[in-house]
Formats: sequence, structure tokens, C-alpha cells
Amino acid sequence: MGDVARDAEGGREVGREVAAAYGPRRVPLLFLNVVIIAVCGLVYELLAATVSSYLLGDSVTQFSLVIGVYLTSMGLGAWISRYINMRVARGFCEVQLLIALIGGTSAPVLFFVFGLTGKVAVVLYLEVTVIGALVGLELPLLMRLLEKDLQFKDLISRVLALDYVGALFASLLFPLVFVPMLGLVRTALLMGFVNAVVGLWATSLLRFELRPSARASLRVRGVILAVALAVGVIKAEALTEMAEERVFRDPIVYAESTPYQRIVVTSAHESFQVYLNGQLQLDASDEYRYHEALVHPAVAALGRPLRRALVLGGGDGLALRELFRYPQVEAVTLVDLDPGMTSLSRRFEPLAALNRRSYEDRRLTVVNEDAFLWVDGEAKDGREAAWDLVVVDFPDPNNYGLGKLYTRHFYQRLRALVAPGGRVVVQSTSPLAVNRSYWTIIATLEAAGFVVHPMQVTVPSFGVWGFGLAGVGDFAAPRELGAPEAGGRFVPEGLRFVDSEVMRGMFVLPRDMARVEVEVNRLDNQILVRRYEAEGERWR
Amino acid sequence: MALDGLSRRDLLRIALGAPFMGLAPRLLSGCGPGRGVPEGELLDFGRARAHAALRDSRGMTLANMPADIARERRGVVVVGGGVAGLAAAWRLVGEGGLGERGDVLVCELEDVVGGTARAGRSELSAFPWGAHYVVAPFSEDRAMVRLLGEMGCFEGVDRHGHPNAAEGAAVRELEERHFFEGRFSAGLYPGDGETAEEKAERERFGRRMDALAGAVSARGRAFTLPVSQVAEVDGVDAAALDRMTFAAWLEAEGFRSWRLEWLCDYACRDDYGTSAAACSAWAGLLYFIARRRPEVGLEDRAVITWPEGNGRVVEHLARQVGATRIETGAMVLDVEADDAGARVLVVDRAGRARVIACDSVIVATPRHVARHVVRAYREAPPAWMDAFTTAPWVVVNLHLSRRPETVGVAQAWDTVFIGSASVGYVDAQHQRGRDHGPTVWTWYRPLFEAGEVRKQCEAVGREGWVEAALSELELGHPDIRRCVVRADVGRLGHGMVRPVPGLRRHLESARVAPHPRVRVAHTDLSGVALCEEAVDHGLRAAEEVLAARGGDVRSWR
Ligand SMILES: Cc1cc2nc3c(=O)[nH]c(=O)nc-3n(C[C@H](O)[C@H](O)[C@H](O)COP(=O)(O)OP(=O)(O)OC[C@H]3O[C@@H](n4cnc5c(N)ncnc54)[C@H](O)[C@@H]3O)c2cc1C
Repeated sequence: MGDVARDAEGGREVGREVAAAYGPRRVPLLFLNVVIIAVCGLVYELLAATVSSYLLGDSVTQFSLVIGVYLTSMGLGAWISRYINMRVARGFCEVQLLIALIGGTSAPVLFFVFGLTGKVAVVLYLEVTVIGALVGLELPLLMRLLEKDLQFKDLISRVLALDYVGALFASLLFPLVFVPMLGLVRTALLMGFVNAVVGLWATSLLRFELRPSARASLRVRGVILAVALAVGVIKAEALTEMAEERVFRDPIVYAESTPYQRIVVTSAHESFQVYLNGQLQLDASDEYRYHEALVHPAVAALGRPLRRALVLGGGDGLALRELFRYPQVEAVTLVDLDPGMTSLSRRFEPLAALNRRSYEDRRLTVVNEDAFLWVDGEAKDGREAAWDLVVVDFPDPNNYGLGKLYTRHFYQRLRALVAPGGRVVVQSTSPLAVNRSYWTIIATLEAAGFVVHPMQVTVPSFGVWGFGLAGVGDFAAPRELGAPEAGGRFVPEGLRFVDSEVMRGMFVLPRDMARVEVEVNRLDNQILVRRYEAEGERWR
Repeated sequence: MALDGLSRRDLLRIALGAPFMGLAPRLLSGCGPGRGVPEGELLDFGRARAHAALRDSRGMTLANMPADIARERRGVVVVGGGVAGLAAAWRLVGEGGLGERGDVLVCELEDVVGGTARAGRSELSAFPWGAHYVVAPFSEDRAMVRLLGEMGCFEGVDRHGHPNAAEGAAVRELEERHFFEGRFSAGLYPGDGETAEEKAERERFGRRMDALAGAVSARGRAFTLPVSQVAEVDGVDAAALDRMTFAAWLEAEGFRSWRLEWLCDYACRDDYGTSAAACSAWAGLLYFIARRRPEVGLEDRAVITWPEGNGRVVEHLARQVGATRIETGAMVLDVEADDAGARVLVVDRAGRARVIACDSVIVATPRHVARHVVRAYREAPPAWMDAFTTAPWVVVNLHLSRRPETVGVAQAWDTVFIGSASVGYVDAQHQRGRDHGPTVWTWYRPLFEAGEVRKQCEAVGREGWVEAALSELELGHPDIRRCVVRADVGRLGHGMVRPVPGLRRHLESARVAPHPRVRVAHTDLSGVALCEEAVDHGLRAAEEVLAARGGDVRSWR
């Protein structure tokens, strides 16, 4: 104890000496510190308020609560400062680094926690309290460091004035520069970095008031922190993905936000998975079951040769792969909303390999448009009914934008594009998990004038899955695999899942998937979206 | 930043009205109009041309025309190419032409037809400048059934014989959403946090409306559209309901939930440009009841809409009438008639005046225009004239390069901000099924306020209104400013007739022709501004003309 007291005394002695020699420059520099500290402090507060209104909604309440808690905590910090009687300089530097750490990671941590638990309020207010208290601690400590250099009235007036100026900078920079240019996560990391640098700088401005060992320790930690935060600023994109990884279970190998959706590819068990907006679209290890079942029975059911095929949705290119197994195919058009998805399937090597580079096939035409509008346009143009086979493979109807692609209106327009004897196969959600949704799709196809054979298949990563095989006019469920040809059938090679016997089994629906009477899905009721959501609840 | 001499705070108050000002500090501290207001133009409907023409032709009447003025002969002249005028011409043409006595000519002041139902078009989308939907009619509204039937809006009839709206014609789900407490939710009613008491009140309100919707006598219904089919029904004192305001009626019935109050006030502002406190109880109830029939099921009738709004109806009518029978840019200055015939003084697009002699005239303009144009009104203004007042509207068309972000329910045709003075916006591309990429949002603000506030609002220019609209939309779409590529503003100085208490009892007199050869048609003659009413009056006036010519006229009404 005695040591410490002497140290403190000694420090003060040295401080006076230094102040004499070093003072004229040191004081303005410490005042610059005040401004920077004020900027960072207010930015953390604004960040917390923005993140909370983002994640918790009700911005008015969130903003005023955060501001209230923050100000109270600052008061708390100021009050605590009186208990720091020794090693004020060290305390100041420590506080700086702590703010850098906690403030700098505040936004990433919040998003991370939200991704993990879906809840964020507790952590948020904890963060606000701690940051507020630390910021509140900072100014009194700094003022005490400066008290020997200046008269009290000068000190108080300058420190407070600069503090408020800093607040002004922050409130201008935050909405005009930081949020639009950096985003929330990067802004937090950048402020943390600035705090860490200021902390480091303070170790040199206050070097005569710090013991060498304390200075060294502070500097090492400061450098590590600053470097870590700087890396964070540069790699913030990866951090967002790390947060997502908690949601996706498996390591993310690719992620992209297109104007239409968020595409995430994860990798696990020597396989990979593609998610659209968090919904699993395919698992490379068992997608062949899904895509073989989607395409080959429909081909086998054709009442005419297979020459022209249309794929709606299905940007992953896997239905294309199955179609191109048939050499008699002359032309395939794929309509997928998202250029991000089709270019991923073309360029992302694992996926390109999986779809056997179907996108390079010269028979393919890719159209990036909303299939609803494309079909509407074709039907209006009075195009002849020219498609032998239509593969409809959209994501599940979990919003109205997708729900419109499962309406009677859409199917009616589509029907007009199908050649006589042509077939349409529709991905129709799970007849087991969301039974009523499945039958709504089948009933809607029927209401649009199709004859439909319901189908089911098991895909381990999805569960039991369902399709509707539809045609205009009566037709029988297929019994033999292969595309009809002069004098027989062409059966493609290399199939891993379907053969004629397995295919016949797909048209048998067990009792627990039996038909239920349901209303037809229309554009002006979109009951499917609500039904799917309600049924899906049970399985989540 | 000051726009039109107003601060951002003023603009917010104007856009949102007083109740919303709690949010202002946050908005004001948020990203301001950094990059300035997007470009666009200001359209003053009716006003610009009318004022210019009036300046050039001040005091021009049929009486003081030079003898050598150009003259022309027609069968019937229709003054005004809004829905009412076009419907009248549609009816006359539908009778197989008017024979050797001359054809129909519609004179429309603006460069395009449509009036308050006109549409605009850009590379991004077609969009409305005013009326944007009609409600699927019941079978009794034969005129609307015929019109919308011609347009292919129906598929079959239900078991009561009422036409079913076709799937592509009825508004696509999600029809409506509202912004409340930081997020969008489905529907118009702000149900989040509703108490048991409020819920009970809402249900009681529904039952009350059903009871009134079921008020039928041998002669007809107490509330229906068009209002010419409204009949006396025991237990419904229409005259008394017309004397009180809707707000007073709600109060008297013990409806006190702010949520319900908001919905009712919104309904009046949306359909009538008038607050519930200024709107008659009769009109307020008409909104809720006319499209409701207990026996058909309590679901309200389907709403029918198009990207360009009722501009589609206008286009259909204009096509049926034929381009040769419509003259745009033609302002009618005077209409007079005597036993020998009627005469119309027109100034055409090039500013040339001419006189059209004809058998009959149908004046399909609002009252405030008819009062100056029709000589009989001008010389002896009828007592009822002053009972007609109008509410101005401001329409902001925001052309978007992409869809802004949304918190909560995404994609709806109609979006409303709870607590705001505006009535929200409609998305032009919604009905086409386009959920991504460019579209036009049409934002509506009725100037329902009186006195100072109204004057202040009327002084706001294009930039001010765009800023006001964006300030509101920013609440729910934080990045909207980055999506807007163009913003046009339309001011409809006399947008809608105001169904204020006491107006209804004058309607019958106002419908009476000022001269047997001069018939009147316009939605304001029903005391409410609705497509159904415009069509009804157009057909009535046309059939009055046809009847006067003699012969057997089968009514379309
Ligand atoms: C902002 C707004 C939104 C609306 N939304 C809806 C809606 O969604 N659904 C609905 O049913 N109703 C709506 N309405 C009501 C709409 O007014 C009616 O549906 C209908 O379009 C009225 O038609 P009208 O022909 O009676 O009158 P107007 O539209 O007023 O037509 C009168 C015409 O006369 C012309 N004219 C005026 N003076 C002269 C002259 N001297 N010479 C020649 N021509 C002249 C005008 O230019 C105009 O074209 C809305 C109205 C407004 C203002």
C-alpha cells in the first residue's frame, strides 16, 4: 500500500515537472482527446438506439429508453469516479481500452446474439449501461489529470464545451456518414478502433504519470485491441456471416445478398447446402432424389416427344441437369427471377459441377424475370402452346410474392402455354408436414383446368416431399420410365434413384397424406400463404 | 433547409398532422433531405388551363360574340370528359348513334380525358392521378355491372346473382397494410395491443353496420350505391343522419375506442376528403354499409383496381365513345338554350372560339364550374348552389427505381400510416404482380382541414409536398430517398365534393335540369365522389336526353 501511495505521489511530482516542460502541447492534445471521446460515446449510444429499434421495433420507445439508460449510466460512472483516488492516469487509459472493447464490439455482439437467440433486450441494455458508465467515468478522470495544468473555471468551461462540440460532430457524422457509408457493424468497430488508438496515444501523453510496467501492459493490450478492431472493420462482411453461421448450423462457404434474396451456401459432411432467405433449397447429398423425381416421371408421362422444355424457378440448374440427360431435347428456357442465383449456379464451382455445367449447354436460354410476369406476357402475346414439358420449381409459398406463383390465375395462364399432350410438374411442398397446403396447390391446379396426379418422394434433408404432375385433358400416371420415341422409349443413363418401379410407387400416397377438401388459392385471397404459415408453425 | 418558405418541421406537420408530431424530433434529427428533392413537375389540374383561357377570354359569352364567329352543328354536346361525361357519351353512342340530327361531341378542358380519374404513364409504370379503384357492384347496379362486364372484370355470378370479380381484376392480396408502432401489419385496423374493451367495441360496430346493411323495405335499401337507388326504410331516419356529423353519431352510439375512431376518420378522409368531424353521418355510414350485405357474407365486396387506377375505366369509355367524338383542350365558356335549341361556346386548344349549335347539352362538370358556364345558373344562381363545397387534394407520384426496405409485412397494394393526415399510398405495379424493381407509389393527401391550416397547405409547392410525403414514408421505409428517381405533384384544387351535414337535402333540386335542353351530370350531384355515382349521373342525363327525343329507351341503369 505504501508503495502505491508513494508511487502516486511520485507520479504527481513528475507530472508537475513534465507539465512545466511538456505542458503547452500536452494540454491541447488532451483536449482533442475530449472531443474524440465525446464523439465515440455518443455514436455508441446512437448505435444502440438504432440497433434496438431495428431489432425490437417501436423506435420512439427504444430511442428514448436507450438515451435514458445511457445518461443515467453516465451519471453512475461520474459518481464512481470519486472512488478512484490513485493511479488516475492508469484508470483513464484502462477505461479507454475497455470502451474500445465493449463499444467496438457492441453492434456485432447484438446481431450475433440476435441470430443465436432471437432476443436481444437484456444484452443491449447491459451494453448501454456499461458503456454509459465507462464514458461517464472518463471525463472526471481526465479533468482530474488536467486540474494541475489549468484553473478550475477554465478547465470546466473548456472540457464541457469540447464535450458538447464532440456530441455535435457525432450527431452529424452518424446519420450522414457512418450509417450510410459503413453500416452499423463497421461503425461500431471503427469507433472501437479510434478509442483504442486514443487509449494508446494517452499512454504516451501521460507517460510520466504511468509506471513503466503499467504503460507496457496498456500498450500491448492497446495494440492488440486496435489491430483486432481494424481487422474487424475490414472484414465486417465475414463477421455478419459468422453471425449467420449460428443460424445455419454449418460453416458458411458463400453468401451473397441480391436485390431479391439472401443466398447462403454452407458446407457440411462432404456435401453443401443452398439456402434462400434462410430456407433450405437443396442439400447436395440427396438433391438427386428430389430432381430425378421432379423430372423423369413427368417426361415418362408425356403424350408427345420431348423437344422443348420450360423451367420456372429452379435457378440451381439441377432440373436442367436431369432434362439434358435426354438427347432429344432441342431447347430449354429457364426463367428465374434472380440473376444472382443463375450466375451462382454457373460460376460457383461446387454447384456448377453438381448441375453438370448445364448453364454452358447451347440449348439453354436463361431469362431473369419474375415468372409471373413472364408467363403473363407470353400468354398475352398469344404465343402458341409450344412447351412439351414445364417444370415449376419455386421456393415454398411463404410470402405473397411467392404465393402469386401458386394461384389459379397463374396456372391458367401457364396452361395456355402447354402443347397438347404436354405435361407440367409442380413442386408442391410436403404432403405430410403441410398437408393442407399441399392439397391446396393440387386443388388449385385442378381449378385451373389441369388433370393432376399427386406424387410424393422422400428426400432426407427435406422430409417427405410432394409434386403435382399435371396435364391438359385426361392422362394416366406413367408406368414405364423414359421419353416416348418412335418405336419405344428412351431411358437416360446414370440415374441414382428412380426406376420404373420406384416411379410407380411415387403415385401412391399413404393415408397420412390423404386428400383433404380445401379452397382454391387465388390472387385475391392468397389463402395458401396463410395456410402454409399456420401449418408450418407446428413443424418449426 | 427551407422549401417553399417552410421548414422541415412545418412540412412534417403538414404531411402528418398534429398527432404524429411526437415522432418529429427523431425524423428531424435523422438523415435530412441531403441530396435535395428529386426532380419532377407540378400539375395544377383544371387550374392552369382554365385560368389561362379565362384570362384570354374574359367576359366572353354567347351574347357578346361577333357575328362572324365560327359555327358548327352537333346532336349533343357533353361538357367535361370525366367519368360522368364519358359515361353519358357511352350511353348516347350505345343507342346506335343519334341519327341525322348530328353526333355527340365531348368537350374536355384538359389535354387528356379522365378528370379526377385520369392516369399518367412513365417508362416505369402507368399510375393514377386520382381515383384508383372501384368496388365490385351488386347486381342492382346494372350500369356498373354492364361497364365492368364489358371490361372483362367478372367471372360468373354468386348464388344471389351478384357478379364475382375475376381473379386478375380483384385486388391482389395483400390488399392493405398499416404502419403502426414501428412496423407494417396487414389490414387497415391498428389491432396491435387492442384491449378487450376495444375489441368488444369493434365487434359491436360490425354488428351495428350489419344491422343497418340489412335495413331493407319493399322499395329498396337504406344505404346502397348508386345513391339514386336508396329508398326510405322504417327505422332509418336519413334526414336526421344527414343533419349530424359522423363523429357525433359515433359519440352518440357510444363508440369511443381511438382505434375505431381512427378507422372511421380515415374512411371519411380517404373516400370523401373530409374528416369524420365534418362529414355527415349519412355519408360516413354509406361508406361502411353500401358495400356490405349480410346475406352475401360479411366480407366486403372485392375491390377492383388496375396499375393506372380508374384511368382504365376512362380509357375503356373513351374507346367506346370513339376518338372522333372527343375534343380535348376544349374549354366550354357558356351554355344557353331556348325552345329552338342549345348553344355552346367553346375555346379550342389553339385558343379559337366557336359556337356549337345542338339539340341538347349535358353539363358534366362540378357545380362550381356549372355555375359559371350555364347561363341560367349564372343569371339566377339557385339557392342550393352554396351548399356545395369541395375539398382539395394533393397527389404525389413517386417514381421508384426499386422497392424500399420495409419493416414487417411486405408488399401491399394500399399502405396507410396510422395517425397521419395523409391517406397513404398505393403501389401501381402491385396489381400487375411485380414485386421487385421499379414502380410508382401514389401518395394522397386530402386537404380536409379548414381555415389557416388549409391556406398554409395550399401555399405549399412541389418540393414541399414531395418532402412532406418522403418524411412520412421514411418512417417505414428508411431508404426511400435512395429509391426515388422522380417525384411529380398534382394539385386538385376542387378534388371532391364534401358530404357535409345538410348537403343531402339539396341534391334532388340540384339534379333538376336548368333547362329541358340542358342536363346535368357529375358525381357531386350525389353528394359523394365515387365512380358509381359519376356513371349513374352520366347515364341518367343521357337517358333524359334520349327520352326527350321520344322513342322507346331501355334504361341501362
Ligand atoms: C384524389 C382523388 C381520389 C379519388 N379516388 C377515388 C377512388 O379510388 N374510387 C372512386 O370511385 N372515386 C374516387 N374519386 C372520386 C372521383 O372523383 C369519381 O370517381 C369520378 O372520377 C368523378 O367523375 P366526374 O366525371 O363526375 O367528375 P370529374 O372527374 O370532376 O370530371 C369533370 C371533368 O370536366 C372537365 N371540365 C371542367 N370544366 C370544364 C369546362 N369549362 N369545359 C370543359 N371541360 C371542363 C374537367 O377537366 C374534368 O375532366 C377520387 C377523387 C379524387 C379527387
